[in-house]
Amino acid sequence: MTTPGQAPAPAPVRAGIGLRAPHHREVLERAPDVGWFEAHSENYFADGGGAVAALLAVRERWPVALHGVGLGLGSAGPLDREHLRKLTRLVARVNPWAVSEHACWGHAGGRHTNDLLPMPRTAEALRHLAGRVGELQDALGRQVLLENVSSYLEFRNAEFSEAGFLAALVAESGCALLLDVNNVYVNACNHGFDAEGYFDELPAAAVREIHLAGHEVSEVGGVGIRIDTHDRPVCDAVWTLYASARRRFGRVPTLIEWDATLPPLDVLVAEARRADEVA
Amino acid sequence: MKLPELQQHFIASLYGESSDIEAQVRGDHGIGAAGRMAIYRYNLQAGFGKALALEFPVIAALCGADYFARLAREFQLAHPSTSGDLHHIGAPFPRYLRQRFESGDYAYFADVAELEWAREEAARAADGVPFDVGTLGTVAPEDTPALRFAFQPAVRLVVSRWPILSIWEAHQAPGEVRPVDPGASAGAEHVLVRRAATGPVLERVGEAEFSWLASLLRGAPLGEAFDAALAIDAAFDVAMALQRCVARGLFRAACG
Repeated sequence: MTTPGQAPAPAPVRAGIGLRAPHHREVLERAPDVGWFEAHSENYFADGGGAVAALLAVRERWPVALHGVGLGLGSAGPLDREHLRKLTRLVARVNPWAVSEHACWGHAGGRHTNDLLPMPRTAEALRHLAGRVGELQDALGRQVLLENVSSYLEFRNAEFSEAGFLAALVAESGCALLLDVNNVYVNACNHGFDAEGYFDELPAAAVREIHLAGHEVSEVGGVGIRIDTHDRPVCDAVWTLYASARRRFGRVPTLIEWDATLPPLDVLVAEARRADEVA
Repeated sequence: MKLPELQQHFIASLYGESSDIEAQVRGDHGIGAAGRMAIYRYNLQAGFGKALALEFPVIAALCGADYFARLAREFQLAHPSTSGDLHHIGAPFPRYLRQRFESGDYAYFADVAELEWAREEAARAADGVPFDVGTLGTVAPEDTPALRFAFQPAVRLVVSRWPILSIWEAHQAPGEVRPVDPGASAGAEHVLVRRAATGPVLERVGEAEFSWLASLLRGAPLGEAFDAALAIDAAFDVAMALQRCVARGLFRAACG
C-alpha cells in the first residue's frame, strides 16, 4: 500500500492497452508485449475478489494508470464522497503512474447518466470544474489528468473554444491533460473546427498522456455524425492526427482504448505496436 | 442559463420529462437540438441496458435481447442509476421484477435475478481471512451448543420455490441451453453462494442444511440452528454439515 501524496510510479515509454475483465487471465498467463495497462477505476472499486486481485497482479509486472469514468466532476450537484473514498483506496493499492478523469459532467438531481456529458463552456462552468478538480487532487495528494470528451452537441452560451476551455482548466486547477486524439477528431468533424488549431491552443507541456480509439459514423436524419464507440480499430485519419500530436507533445505514454465488442488480445497488442512505430 | 439549471434540464430531457434544454443547444451542421439530445438519450438507455445484462445474463437470456432492452428501460425509469459506479444499478432489480411479474408465468424471474445478484455480490465482497479449524478442538463439549460463527463476506443464501439453480446452470454452456421447466412441480431449490479461489461458486444444499446455515448466518448459536434443522430433517447430521462448512471455507471465526 502507498499513501496519498507518495511519488507516483514512473511513466511508461511504449504504448499500452486498456485492461478489460475478459482479458485478465490471458494477460497474466501470456504477458503480452505492451508498455503498460490502463484500468477503469470503477471496475476495481470492489472490496475484494478476482478483478482487484488481477489488477494488483498486473501492477506487479507493468506500469498501470487508473482512468475514472464516473465522477462527473463538472456536475453542479455534490461530489460523491463514497466514490472519492473508493478511488482514494484504489490509488493507494495500485500506486498508478497516472490518475485521470474526464472534463465532463454526468449527474443532476441524484440521477446519474454514467455518460461523459459535454460541459457548457462558460466561465461559471470552468470555475466549478476547476474547483472540483482541485478537490480531487487534494484528496489524492497528486496531480490528475483531465481528458477531453467526444460530444454530439454544443451549448449556445459558449464563452470558450473547447481547447481554450481545457487550457483555462489547466491554468486554474493545476491539472495535466490526457489528450484523446480520437475525441479531438470526432469533435472536429461533428462541430466543424480544425484539429490542428485545437492542438495550437493547448498548453503543450500539460499533455501527459494520449488516448487512441475507434469510432463509428452514424446518421441522424440523413446527416452523418461521428459517435465515439471504442469498438473498432483506430481509423487512418486519427493515426495521421496522432503523428502530428506526437510531434507537438512529445513521446508521452499512449493508450489503445477498446471497450465494446472486445477483440482478441493480439489485436490490441498490434494496435499498440503500431502506435509505437509512429515517429 | 446557470450550470445547475442547465444540467437539471438536460437530465429531464433524457428522461423524456421536458424539452426545455433544446433552446440551449446549437442545432447546426444539419442536425437539430432534438436530434442531438436523442443521441444522448439512446446512449443512456443502451449503456444502462448493457450494464444490467452483464449483471443478469440469465435473465437477459430468458427475456431475449429485445424484451430485455424494454424491461431495462422500464426499470431505469423507476430506478435510475444513483452512482457514478454502474455496478450498483442491479441492486433493486430482483425486487423490481418481483413487483413487475408478481403472479403469472414469469414470477420466477425475481428469484433467478436474486441468485444472479447474490453471485455478483459474492464476486465483489471483501477477501476472506482463513479460518483456524484448531479453535473448534478447544471447545468443551458442553459449550458447543453456544458456539456462534462469523462467515466470510462472500457467503450468501438464496431459496426459491422454483429450480433457480437448475435454470442458472442451463444457461452456462454457450449455445446449448437445456430448457428447464420453471413449473412449481419441478421443485424448490436451496442455494449456497460462496467464493472460491476461482470465483463465485453456486451449490445446491438440502433444506435442513440450508435452514441450519441460515440460522448460523443470522448469528444464532449452533444448538439453536441444529434444533431448527432437526425439525425439518430428523436425520440431519450436524458433524458432517460442520465439516462441509470448513471444507467450503465458509467460516471466518468461531466464538463461544
